[in-house]
Amino acid sequence: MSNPKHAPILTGKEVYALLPQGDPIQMVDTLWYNDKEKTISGFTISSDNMFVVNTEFIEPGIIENIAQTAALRLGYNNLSGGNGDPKEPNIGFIGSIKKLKIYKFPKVDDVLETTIVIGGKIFNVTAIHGKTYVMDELIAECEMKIVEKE
Amino acid sequence: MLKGDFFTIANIQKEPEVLVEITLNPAHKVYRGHFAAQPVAPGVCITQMFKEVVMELTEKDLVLVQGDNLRFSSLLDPNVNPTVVFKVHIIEEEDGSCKAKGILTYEKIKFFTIQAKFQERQYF
Repeated sequence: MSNPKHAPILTGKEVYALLPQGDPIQMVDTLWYNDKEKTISGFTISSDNMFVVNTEFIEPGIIENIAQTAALRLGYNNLSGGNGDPKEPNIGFIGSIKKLKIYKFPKVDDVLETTIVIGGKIFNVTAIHGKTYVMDELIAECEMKIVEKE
Repeated sequence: MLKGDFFTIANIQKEPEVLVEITLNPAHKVYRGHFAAQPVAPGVCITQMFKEVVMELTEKDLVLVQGDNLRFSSLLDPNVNPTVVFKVHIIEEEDGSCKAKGILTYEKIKFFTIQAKFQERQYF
Protein backbone atom coordinates (compact mmCIF):
# COMPACT_ATOMS: atom_id res chain seq x y z
CA MET A 1 0.00 0.00 0.00
CA SER A 2 2.96 2.32 -0.50
CA ASN A 3 1.06 4.14 -3.22
CA PRO A 4 -2.50 4.22 -1.97
CA LYS A 5 -5.02 4.93 -4.67
CA HIS A 6 -7.31 6.73 -2.27
CA ALA A 7 -6.99 9.66 0.08
CA PRO A 8 -6.49 9.06 3.80
CA ILE A 9 -9.57 9.06 6.02
CA LEU A 10 -7.90 11.28 8.63
CA THR A 11 -4.51 12.95 9.03
CA GLY A 12 -2.56 14.98 11.57
CA LYS A 13 -4.69 16.90 14.07
CA GLU A 14 -7.79 14.83 13.22
CA VAL A 15 -5.84 11.72 14.22
CA TYR A 16 -4.29 13.24 17.36
CA ALA A 17 -7.75 14.34 18.55
CA LEU A 18 -8.82 10.67 18.64
CA LEU A 19 -5.82 9.46 20.64
CA PRO A 20 -5.59 9.55 24.43
CA GLN A 21 -1.80 9.84 24.00
CA GLY A 22 -0.31 13.29 23.62
CA ASP A 23 3.03 14.78 22.67
CA PRO A 24 5.80 13.46 22.85
CA ILE A 25 4.34 9.94 22.56
CA GLN A 26 2.04 10.18 19.56
CA MET A 27 3.12 7.44 17.16
CA VAL A 28 0.45 7.46 14.42
CA ASP A 29 -0.48 10.39 12.15
CA THR A 30 -2.73 8.95 9.42
CA LEU A 31 -5.80 6.74 9.25
CA TRP A 32 -5.78 5.01 5.86
CA TYR A 33 -8.45 2.36 6.25
CA ASN A 34 -10.94 1.06 8.78
CA ASP A 35 -13.58 -1.66 8.59
CA LYS A 36 -15.03 -4.37 10.82
CA GLU A 37 -11.94 -6.57 10.53
CA LYS A 38 -8.97 -4.27 10.20
CA THR A 39 -7.45 -0.83 10.48
CA ILE A 40 -4.47 0.63 8.61
CA SER A 41 -2.46 3.56 10.01
CA GLY A 42 0.40 5.62 8.72
CA PHE A 43 3.26 7.37 10.51
CA THR A 44 6.25 9.38 9.31
CA ILE A 45 9.36 9.13 11.50
CA SER A 46 10.70 12.56 12.34
CA SER A 47 14.20 13.25 13.62
CA ASP A 48 12.88 14.65 16.92
CA ASN A 49 10.77 11.57 17.71
CA MET A 50 11.48 10.47 21.29
CA PHE A 51 12.22 6.89 20.15
CA VAL A 52 14.76 7.83 17.46
CA VAL A 53 18.34 6.93 18.41
CA ASN A 54 21.15 7.61 15.91
CA THR A 55 18.55 8.16 13.11
CA GLU A 56 16.89 4.79 13.86
CA PHE A 57 13.36 4.31 15.19
CA ILE A 58 13.81 1.68 17.85
CA GLU A 59 11.73 -1.07 19.47
CA PRO A 60 9.56 0.94 21.90
CA GLY A 61 8.48 3.24 19.07
CA ILE A 62 7.69 0.35 16.75
CA ILE A 63 5.56 -1.37 19.40
CA GLU A 64 3.82 1.87 20.41
CA ASN A 65 2.91 2.54 16.75
CA ILE A 66 1.11 -0.81 16.62
CA ALA A 67 -0.68 -0.15 19.93
CA GLN A 68 -1.73 3.32 18.82
CA THR A 69 -3.14 1.95 15.58
CA ALA A 70 -5.56 0.09 17.87
CA ALA A 71 -6.17 3.27 19.90
CA LEU A 72 -6.91 5.14 16.67
CA ARG A 73 -9.38 2.43 15.63
CA LEU A 74 -11.17 2.62 18.97
CA GLY A 75 -11.27 6.41 18.84
CA TYR A 76 -12.55 6.45 15.25
CA ASN A 77 -15.21 3.79 15.89
CA ASN A 78 -16.43 5.70 18.96
CA LEU A 79 -16.66 8.85 16.85
CA SER A 80 -18.63 7.33 14.01
CA GLY A 81 -20.74 5.00 16.11
CA GLY A 82 -21.82 7.57 18.65
CA ASN A 83 -24.19 10.47 18.42
CA GLY A 84 -21.60 12.64 16.72
CA ASP A 85 -20.32 14.40 19.83
CA PRO A 86 -16.55 13.89 20.04
CA LYS A 87 -15.83 12.41 23.46
CA GLU A 88 -12.55 12.62 25.34
CA PRO A 89 -10.52 9.73 23.95
CA ASN A 90 -10.84 6.71 26.17
CA ILE A 91 -7.57 5.75 27.85
CA GLY A 92 -6.31 2.36 26.71
CA PHE A 93 -3.35 0.27 27.78
CA ILE A 94 -1.37 -2.57 26.36
CA GLY A 95 -2.43 -5.57 28.45
CA SER A 96 -0.17 -8.13 26.87
CA ILE A 97 2.04 -8.81 23.86
CA LYS A 98 2.84 -12.18 22.31
CA LYS A 99 4.89 -13.34 19.35
CA LEU A 100 6.62 -9.99 18.97
CA LYS A 101 9.19 -10.02 16.20
CA ILE A 102 11.31 -7.08 15.13
CA TYR A 103 13.14 -7.51 11.83
CA LYS A 104 14.54 -4.08 11.07
CA PHE A 105 14.70 -0.55 12.49
CA PRO A 106 13.03 2.10 10.33
CA LYS A 107 14.98 5.31 9.83
CA VAL A 108 14.15 9.01 10.07
CA ASP A 109 11.85 10.05 7.17
CA ASP A 110 10.64 6.47 6.66
CA VAL A 111 6.86 6.13 6.47
CA LEU A 112 5.38 3.27 8.50
CA GLU A 113 2.25 1.50 7.37
CA THR A 114 0.71 -0.64 10.10
CA THR A 115 -2.20 -3.01 9.61
CA ILE A 116 -4.00 -4.43 12.61
CA VAL A 117 -6.46 -7.28 12.20
CA ILE A 118 -9.00 -7.63 14.98
CA GLY A 119 -9.07 -11.01 16.67
CA GLY A 120 -12.04 -10.28 18.88
CA LYS A 121 -13.34 -7.95 21.56
CA ILE A 122 -14.62 -9.16 24.93
CA PHE A 123 -15.87 -6.46 27.29
CA ASN A 124 -13.07 -3.86 27.24
CA VAL A 125 -10.29 -6.09 25.84
CA THR A 126 -9.49 -6.06 22.11
CA ALA A 127 -7.14 -8.69 20.64
CA ILE A 128 -5.19 -7.64 17.56
CA HIS A 129 -2.55 -8.97 15.23
CA GLY A 130 -0.37 -6.13 13.98
CA LYS A 131 2.11 -5.93 11.10
CA THR A 132 4.23 -2.93 10.24
CA TYR A 133 5.68 -2.28 6.80
CA VAL A 134 8.07 0.24 5.32
CA MET A 135 7.84 0.35 1.51
CA ASP A 136 6.18 -3.10 1.46
CA GLU A 137 8.93 -4.62 3.64
CA LEU A 138 7.69 -6.22 6.88
CA ILE A 139 9.71 -4.70 9.73
CA ALA A 140 7.77 -5.95 12.77
CA GLU A 141 4.72 -7.90 13.90
CA CYS A 142 3.03 -9.01 17.09
CA GLU A 143 -0.19 -10.04 18.78
CA MET A 144 -1.45 -7.64 21.35
CA LYS A 145 -4.33 -7.22 23.77
CA ILE A 146 -5.47 -3.67 24.40
CA VAL A 147 -7.47 -2.88 27.53
CA GLU A 148 -9.77 0.14 27.58
CA LYS A 149 -10.22 1.94 30.88
CA GLU A 150 -13.85 1.93 32.10
CA MET B 1 18.21 6.16 25.86
CA LEU B 2 15.92 5.97 28.85
CA LYS B 3 18.62 5.22 31.41
CA GLY B 4 19.59 8.38 33.23
CA ASP B 5 16.37 10.12 32.17
CA PHE B 6 13.23 7.95 32.45
CA PHE B 7 14.91 5.79 35.10
CA THR B 8 18.15 5.24 36.96
CA ILE B 9 19.63 2.06 38.39
CA ALA B 10 19.83 2.41 42.16
CA ASN B 11 21.35 -0.96 42.95
CA ILE B 12 22.28 -4.29 41.38
CA GLN B 13 22.34 -7.49 43.39
CA LYS B 14 23.84 -10.52 41.64
CA GLU B 15 23.59 -13.30 44.21
CA PRO B 16 21.63 -15.46 44.87
CA GLU B 17 19.50 -14.00 42.08
CA VAL B 18 19.83 -10.91 39.94
CA LEU B 19 17.74 -8.05 41.31
CA VAL B 20 18.01 -4.59 39.80
CA GLU B 21 16.53 -1.76 41.82
CA ILE B 22 15.18 1.04 39.66
CA THR B 23 14.25 4.63 40.46
CA LEU B 24 11.65 6.13 38.12
CA ASN B 25 11.64 9.82 37.19
CA PRO B 26 8.09 11.27 37.34
CA ALA B 27 9.35 14.45 35.65
CA HIS B 28 10.21 12.64 32.39
CA LYS B 29 8.68 14.33 29.34
CA VAL B 30 6.69 11.25 28.31
CA TYR B 31 4.21 11.81 31.15
CA ARG B 32 3.03 15.07 29.54
CA GLY B 33 1.28 12.91 26.99
CA HIS B 34 0.81 9.62 28.84
CA PHE B 35 -1.49 10.72 30.14
CA ALA B 36 -2.47 14.32 30.77
CA ALA B 37 -5.03 13.20 33.37
CA GLN B 38 -2.89 10.57 35.09
CA PRO B 39 0.79 9.65 34.70
CA VAL B 40 1.21 6.03 33.60
CA ALA B 41 4.58 4.55 32.65
CA PRO B 42 4.10 3.42 29.03
CA GLY B 43 4.43 -0.33 28.58
CA VAL B 44 6.84 0.26 25.73
CA CYS B 45 9.09 2.35 28.01
CA ILE B 46 9.03 -0.42 30.62
CA THR B 47 10.02 -2.84 27.84
CA GLN B 48 12.86 -0.55 26.74
CA MET B 49 13.91 -0.18 30.37
CA PHE B 50 14.17 -3.99 30.61
CA LYS B 51 16.33 -4.06 27.48
CA GLU B 52 18.65 -1.39 28.95
CA VAL B 53 18.91 -3.36 32.20
CA VAL B 54 19.90 -6.49 30.24
CA MET B 55 22.43 -4.37 28.30
CA GLU B 56 23.87 -3.12 31.59
CA LEU B 57 24.18 -6.65 32.97
CA THR B 58 25.68 -8.19 29.80
CA GLU B 59 27.69 -5.09 28.77
CA LYS B 60 26.39 -5.57 25.22
CA ASP B 61 24.53 -3.33 22.79
CA LEU B 62 21.34 -5.29 22.15
CA VAL B 63 18.20 -5.34 20.02
CA LEU B 64 14.94 -6.93 21.15
CA VAL B 65 14.29 -9.29 18.23
CA GLN B 66 11.62 -11.51 19.83
CA GLY B 67 9.27 -10.95 22.73
CA ASP B 68 6.73 -13.26 24.25
CA ASN B 69 4.42 -13.29 27.24
CA LEU B 70 4.83 -9.59 27.86
CA ARG B 71 2.21 -8.94 30.48
CA PHE B 72 1.41 -5.53 31.92
CA SER B 73 -0.49 -6.51 35.04
CA SER B 74 -0.79 -3.23 36.94
CA LEU B 75 -0.57 0.41 35.95
CA LEU B 76 2.70 1.95 37.08
CA ASP B 77 2.43 5.53 38.32
CA PRO B 78 5.96 6.91 38.93
CA ASN B 79 4.64 9.15 41.73
CA VAL B 80 3.01 6.26 43.59
CA ASN B 81 5.79 3.71 42.89
CA PRO B 82 9.04 5.57 42.21
CA THR B 83 11.01 2.46 43.23
CA VAL B 84 10.57 -0.83 41.39
CA VAL B 85 12.67 -3.98 41.17
CA PHE B 86 13.50 -6.09 38.13
CA LYS B 87 14.25 -9.74 38.79
CA VAL B 88 16.27 -10.81 35.77
CA HIS B 89 17.45 -14.16 34.43
CA ILE B 90 19.73 -14.13 31.40
CA ILE B 91 21.12 -16.96 29.30
CA GLU B 92 23.82 -15.83 26.89
CA GLU B 93 24.17 -17.90 23.73
CA GLU B 94 27.32 -18.44 21.68
CA ASP B 95 25.96 -16.73 18.57
CA GLY B 96 25.81 -13.39 20.37
CA SER B 97 22.13 -13.61 21.20
CA CYS B 98 20.72 -13.93 24.69
CA LYS B 99 17.43 -14.99 26.19
CA ALA B 100 16.15 -13.10 29.18
CA LYS B 101 13.23 -13.30 31.55
CA GLY B 102 12.18 -10.38 33.67
CA ILE B 103 9.65 -9.63 36.37
CA LEU B 104 9.06 -6.05 37.54
CA THR B 105 7.59 -5.71 41.02
CA TYR B 106 7.40 -3.58 44.11
CA GLU B 107 6.77 -5.61 47.23
CA LYS B 108 3.65 -7.60 46.43
CA ILE B 109 2.63 -5.65 43.32
CA LYS B 110 3.56 -7.16 39.99
CA PHE B 111 3.78 -4.69 37.10
CA PHE B 112 5.37 -6.52 34.21
CA THR B 113 6.72 -9.85 33.03
CA ILE B 114 8.59 -10.65 29.84
CA GLN B 115 10.41 -13.40 28.01
CA ALA B 116 12.68 -12.01 25.35
CA LYS B 117 15.38 -12.82 22.88
CA PHE B 118 17.99 -10.16 22.20
CA GLN B 119 20.53 -10.02 19.40
CA GLU B 120 23.74 -8.03 19.53
CA ARG B 121 23.34 -4.79 17.62
CA GLN B 122 26.23 -5.53 15.26
CA TYR B 123 24.47 -8.69 14.02
CA PHE B 124 21.03 -7.12 13.56
